[in-house]
Amino acid sequence: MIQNEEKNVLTREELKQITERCEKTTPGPWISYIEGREHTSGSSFIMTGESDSRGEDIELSGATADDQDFIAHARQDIPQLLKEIERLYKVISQLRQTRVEWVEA
Amino acid sequence: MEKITAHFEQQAENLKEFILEVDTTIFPNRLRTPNVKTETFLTTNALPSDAYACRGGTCTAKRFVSGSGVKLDSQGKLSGVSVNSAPSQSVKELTTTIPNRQVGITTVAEIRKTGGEVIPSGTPTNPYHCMLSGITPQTAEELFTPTIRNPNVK
Repeated sequence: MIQNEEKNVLTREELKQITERCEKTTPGPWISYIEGREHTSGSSFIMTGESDSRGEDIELSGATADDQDFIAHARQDIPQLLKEIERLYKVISQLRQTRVEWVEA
Repeated sequence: MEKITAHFEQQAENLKEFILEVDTTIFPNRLRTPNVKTETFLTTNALPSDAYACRGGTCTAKRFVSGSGVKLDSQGKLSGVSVNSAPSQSVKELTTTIPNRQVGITTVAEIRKTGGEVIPSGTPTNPYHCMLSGITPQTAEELFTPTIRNPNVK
Protein backbone atom coordinates (compact mmCIF):
# COMPACT_ATOMS: atom_id res chain seq x y z
CA MET A 1 0.00 0.00 0.00
CA ILE A 2 2.74 2.43 0.98
CA GLN A 3 4.77 1.35 -2.05
CA ASN A 4 1.85 2.12 -4.40
CA GLU A 5 1.33 5.52 -2.81
CA GLU A 6 5.02 6.30 -3.21
CA LYS A 7 4.84 5.40 -6.90
CA ASN A 8 2.14 8.04 -7.39
CA VAL A 9 4.02 10.79 -5.59
CA LEU A 10 4.80 13.77 -7.81
CA THR A 11 8.46 14.59 -7.81
CA ARG A 12 9.79 18.15 -7.63
CA GLU A 13 10.92 17.74 -11.23
CA GLU A 14 7.45 16.70 -12.38
CA LEU A 15 5.91 19.67 -10.59
CA LYS A 16 8.43 21.96 -12.27
CA GLN A 17 7.50 20.52 -15.68
CA ILE A 18 3.79 21.05 -15.00
CA THR A 19 4.49 24.66 -13.99
CA GLU A 20 6.55 25.27 -17.12
CA ARG A 21 3.88 23.79 -19.40
CA CYS A 22 1.30 26.03 -17.76
CA GLU A 23 3.43 29.16 -18.06
CA LYS A 24 4.02 28.55 -21.78
CA THR A 25 0.31 28.68 -22.63
CA THR A 26 -1.55 31.74 -23.91
CA PRO A 27 -2.04 34.14 -20.98
CA GLY A 28 -5.27 33.71 -19.03
CA PRO A 29 -7.85 33.86 -17.84
CA TRP A 30 -9.41 31.35 -20.15
CA ILE A 31 -13.18 31.55 -20.21
CA SER A 32 -15.43 28.94 -21.76
CA TYR A 33 -18.18 30.25 -24.03
CA ILE A 34 -20.72 27.60 -25.01
CA GLU A 35 -23.15 28.45 -27.79
CA GLY A 36 -26.70 28.45 -26.43
CA ARG A 37 -25.47 28.86 -22.84
CA GLU A 38 -23.30 31.99 -22.77
CA HIS A 39 -24.13 33.39 -26.19
CA THR A 40 -25.92 32.88 -29.51
CA SER A 41 -24.93 33.36 -33.16
CA GLY A 42 -21.37 32.14 -32.72
CA SER A 43 -19.64 28.82 -32.25
CA SER A 44 -18.38 27.62 -28.87
CA PHE A 45 -14.87 28.74 -27.97
CA ILE A 46 -12.46 29.56 -25.17
CA MET A 47 -11.76 33.26 -24.73
CA THR A 48 -8.16 33.93 -23.72
CA GLY A 49 -7.02 37.03 -21.85
CA GLU A 50 -9.15 40.03 -21.01
CA SER A 51 -10.18 43.32 -22.65
CA ASP A 52 -7.03 45.03 -23.96
CA SER A 53 -4.85 41.95 -23.49
CA ARG A 54 -7.26 39.55 -25.12
CA GLY A 55 -5.60 36.77 -27.13
CA GLU A 56 -6.81 34.54 -29.93
CA ASP A 57 -9.91 32.44 -29.33
CA ILE A 58 -9.45 28.69 -28.99
CA GLU A 59 -11.94 26.58 -30.95
CA LEU A 60 -11.96 22.90 -30.06
CA SER A 61 -12.89 20.05 -32.36
CA GLY A 62 -14.84 17.10 -31.01
CA ALA A 63 -15.08 18.47 -27.47
CA THR A 64 -18.25 18.31 -25.40
CA ALA A 65 -19.31 21.36 -23.39
CA ASP A 66 -17.90 19.66 -20.29
CA ASP A 67 -14.59 19.00 -22.06
CA GLN A 68 -14.33 22.65 -23.06
CA ASP A 69 -15.23 23.87 -19.57
CA PHE A 70 -12.58 21.57 -18.08
CA ILE A 71 -9.86 22.77 -20.48
CA ALA A 72 -10.71 26.43 -19.93
CA HIS A 73 -10.81 26.06 -16.14
CA ALA A 74 -7.55 24.09 -16.14
CA ARG A 75 -5.73 27.32 -17.11
CA GLN A 76 -6.77 28.80 -13.76
CA ASP A 77 -7.09 25.58 -11.74
CA ILE A 78 -3.61 24.15 -12.35
CA PRO A 79 -1.68 27.22 -11.09
CA GLN A 80 -3.97 27.23 -8.04
CA LEU A 81 -3.31 23.55 -7.39
CA LEU A 82 0.43 24.09 -7.77
CA LYS A 83 0.29 26.95 -5.25
CA GLU A 84 -1.64 24.72 -2.87
CA ILE A 85 0.99 21.96 -3.24
CA GLU A 86 3.73 24.50 -2.47
CA ARG A 87 1.79 25.66 0.59
CA LEU A 88 1.33 22.09 1.79
CA TYR A 89 5.06 21.37 1.25
CA LYS A 90 5.80 24.30 3.56
CA VAL A 91 3.32 23.03 6.17
CA ILE A 92 4.89 19.54 6.06
CA SER A 93 8.37 21.04 6.34
CA GLN A 94 7.32 23.13 9.35
CA LEU A 95 5.71 20.09 11.01
CA ARG A 96 8.86 18.03 10.46
CA GLN A 97 10.97 20.80 11.97
CA THR A 98 8.61 21.03 14.94
CA ARG A 99 8.78 17.25 15.39
CA VAL A 100 12.57 17.27 15.33
CA GLU A 101 12.64 20.09 17.88
CA TRP A 102 10.10 18.21 20.04
CA VAL A 103 12.11 14.96 19.90
CA GLU A 104 15.36 16.78 20.72
CA ALA A 105 13.81 18.66 23.61
CA MET B 1 -71.19 45.40 -45.72
CA GLU B 2 -70.25 42.93 -42.99
CA LYS B 3 -70.53 40.09 -45.47
CA ILE B 4 -68.20 41.86 -47.87
CA THR B 5 -65.65 42.53 -45.09
CA ALA B 6 -65.83 38.92 -43.96
CA HIS B 7 -65.42 37.78 -47.54
CA PHE B 8 -62.26 39.82 -48.06
CA GLU B 9 -60.85 38.79 -44.68
CA GLN B 10 -61.37 35.18 -45.69
CA GLN B 11 -59.73 35.84 -49.06
CA ALA B 12 -56.75 37.46 -47.30
CA GLU B 13 -56.46 34.49 -44.96
CA ASN B 14 -56.61 32.07 -47.90
CA LEU B 15 -53.88 34.04 -49.64
CA LYS B 16 -51.65 33.89 -46.55
CA GLU B 17 -52.20 30.15 -46.28
CA PHE B 18 -51.38 29.77 -49.96
CA ILE B 19 -48.13 31.77 -49.61
CA LEU B 20 -47.13 29.68 -46.60
CA GLU B 21 -47.88 26.49 -48.53
CA VAL B 22 -45.79 27.62 -51.51
CA ASP B 23 -42.97 28.65 -49.19
CA THR B 24 -43.10 25.29 -47.44
CA THR B 25 -42.82 23.54 -50.80
CA ILE B 26 -39.87 25.65 -51.95
CA PHE B 27 -38.03 25.67 -48.61
CA PRO B 28 -39.02 22.42 -46.90
CA ASN B 29 -36.11 22.65 -44.46
CA ARG B 30 -36.83 26.14 -43.22
CA LEU B 31 -37.16 26.22 -39.45
CA ARG B 32 -40.78 26.78 -38.42
CA THR B 33 -42.29 26.92 -35.01
CA PRO B 34 -45.20 24.48 -34.74
CA ASN B 35 -48.57 26.24 -34.88
CA VAL B 36 -46.90 29.50 -35.88
CA LYS B 37 -49.51 31.98 -36.99
CA THR B 38 -49.48 32.91 -40.66
CA GLU B 39 -49.30 36.59 -39.73
CA THR B 40 -46.21 36.00 -37.60
CA PHE B 41 -44.58 34.01 -40.36
CA LEU B 42 -45.25 36.72 -42.95
CA THR B 43 -44.02 39.48 -40.66
CA THR B 44 -40.87 37.64 -39.64
CA ASN B 45 -40.07 36.60 -43.19
CA ALA B 46 -39.37 40.17 -44.15
CA LEU B 47 -35.57 40.41 -44.03
CA PRO B 48 -34.40 42.46 -47.01
CA SER B 49 -31.85 40.89 -49.33
CA ASP B 50 -29.22 43.53 -48.55
CA ALA B 51 -29.28 42.75 -44.82
CA TYR B 52 -26.02 41.38 -43.43
CA ALA B 53 -25.93 37.96 -41.76
CA CYS B 54 -23.17 37.44 -39.18
CA ARG B 55 -21.91 34.44 -37.23
CA GLY B 56 -19.08 34.29 -34.70
CA GLY B 57 -16.15 31.92 -35.00
CA THR B 58 -13.98 30.62 -37.79
CA CYS B 59 -17.09 29.55 -39.74
CA THR B 60 -15.66 26.36 -41.23
CA ALA B 61 -18.08 23.71 -42.49
CA LYS B 62 -17.32 21.60 -39.43
CA ARG B 63 -18.07 24.47 -37.05
CA PHE B 64 -21.44 25.03 -38.71
CA VAL B 65 -22.37 21.37 -38.24
CA SER B 66 -21.30 21.37 -34.58
CA GLY B 67 -23.30 24.51 -33.74
CA SER B 68 -25.83 24.36 -30.94
CA GLY B 69 -29.19 22.99 -32.13
CA VAL B 70 -27.97 22.54 -35.70
CA LYS B 71 -29.39 19.68 -37.75
CA LEU B 72 -28.51 18.19 -41.11
CA ASP B 73 -31.31 16.83 -43.27
CA SER B 74 -31.16 13.87 -45.66
CA GLN B 75 -29.93 16.19 -48.42
CA GLY B 76 -27.07 17.37 -46.24
CA LYS B 77 -28.57 20.79 -45.70
CA LEU B 78 -28.35 22.71 -42.45
CA SER B 79 -31.16 23.97 -40.27
CA GLY B 80 -31.13 25.76 -36.95
CA VAL B 81 -27.92 27.69 -37.53
CA SER B 82 -27.88 30.70 -35.23
CA VAL B 83 -26.86 33.98 -36.94
CA ASN B 84 -27.43 37.69 -36.40
CA SER B 85 -29.27 39.75 -39.00
CA ALA B 86 -31.62 42.71 -39.19
CA PRO B 87 -32.68 45.27 -41.79
CA SER B 88 -30.46 48.34 -42.22
CA GLN B 89 -27.98 47.42 -39.46
CA SER B 90 -24.21 47.70 -39.81
CA VAL B 91 -21.85 44.77 -39.25
CA LYS B 92 -20.56 46.53 -36.11
CA GLU B 93 -24.07 46.77 -34.71
CA LEU B 94 -25.04 43.21 -35.65
CA THR B 95 -21.95 41.78 -33.96
CA THR B 96 -22.34 43.59 -30.62
CA THR B 97 -23.87 40.49 -29.00
CA ILE B 98 -21.30 38.09 -30.51
CA PRO B 99 -18.31 37.48 -28.18
CA ASN B 100 -16.15 35.60 -30.72
CA ARG B 101 -13.01 37.40 -31.86
CA GLN B 102 -13.60 36.36 -35.48
CA VAL B 103 -16.90 36.78 -37.31
CA GLY B 104 -18.12 35.57 -40.69
CA ILE B 105 -20.20 38.00 -42.75
CA THR B 106 -22.45 37.51 -45.75
CA THR B 107 -25.76 38.94 -46.95
CA VAL B 108 -29.27 37.51 -46.98
CA ALA B 109 -29.16 37.84 -50.79
CA GLU B 110 -26.12 35.56 -51.02
CA ILE B 111 -27.79 33.00 -48.77
CA ARG B 112 -30.99 33.07 -50.84
CA LYS B 113 -29.00 32.69 -54.07
CA THR B 114 -27.77 29.32 -52.79
CA GLY B 115 -31.23 28.19 -51.73
CA GLY B 116 -31.10 29.15 -48.09
CA GLU B 117 -33.18 31.42 -45.92
CA VAL B 118 -32.76 33.52 -42.80
CA ILE B 119 -35.71 33.87 -40.43
CA PRO B 120 -35.65 36.40 -37.56
CA SER B 121 -36.09 34.84 -34.12
CA GLY B 122 -34.98 37.55 -31.71
CA THR B 123 -34.42 36.76 -28.06
CA PRO B 124 -34.52 39.08 -25.01
CA THR B 125 -30.70 39.13 -24.94
CA ASN B 126 -30.17 39.14 -28.70
CA PRO B 127 -32.72 41.09 -30.75
CA TYR B 128 -30.80 40.37 -33.97
CA HIS B 129 -30.95 36.60 -33.55
CA CYS B 130 -32.08 34.66 -36.63
CA MET B 131 -32.15 31.08 -37.86
CA LEU B 132 -30.34 30.13 -41.04
CA SER B 133 -31.33 27.01 -42.99
CA GLY B 134 -31.38 25.35 -46.41
CA ILE B 135 -27.69 25.38 -47.36
CA THR B 136 -24.94 22.80 -47.01
CA PRO B 137 -22.12 23.23 -44.46
CA GLN B 138 -19.66 23.68 -47.33
CA THR B 139 -21.77 26.45 -48.87
CA ALA B 140 -22.08 28.08 -45.45
CA GLU B 141 -18.29 28.07 -45.13
CA GLU B 142 -17.90 29.58 -48.59
CA LEU B 143 -20.39 32.34 -47.78
CA PHE B 144 -19.07 33.22 -44.31
CA THR B 145 -15.32 33.02 -44.96
CA PRO B 146 -12.82 34.57 -44.91
CA THR B 147 -13.80 35.81 -41.49
CA ILE B 148 -12.93 39.26 -40.19
CA ARG B 149 -11.98 40.56 -36.74
CA ASN B 150 -15.10 41.30 -34.69
CA PRO B 151 -15.25 45.14 -34.80
CA ASN B 152 -16.43 45.19 -31.18
CA VAL B 153 -13.40 43.28 -29.86
CA LYS B 154 -10.27 45.31 -29.03
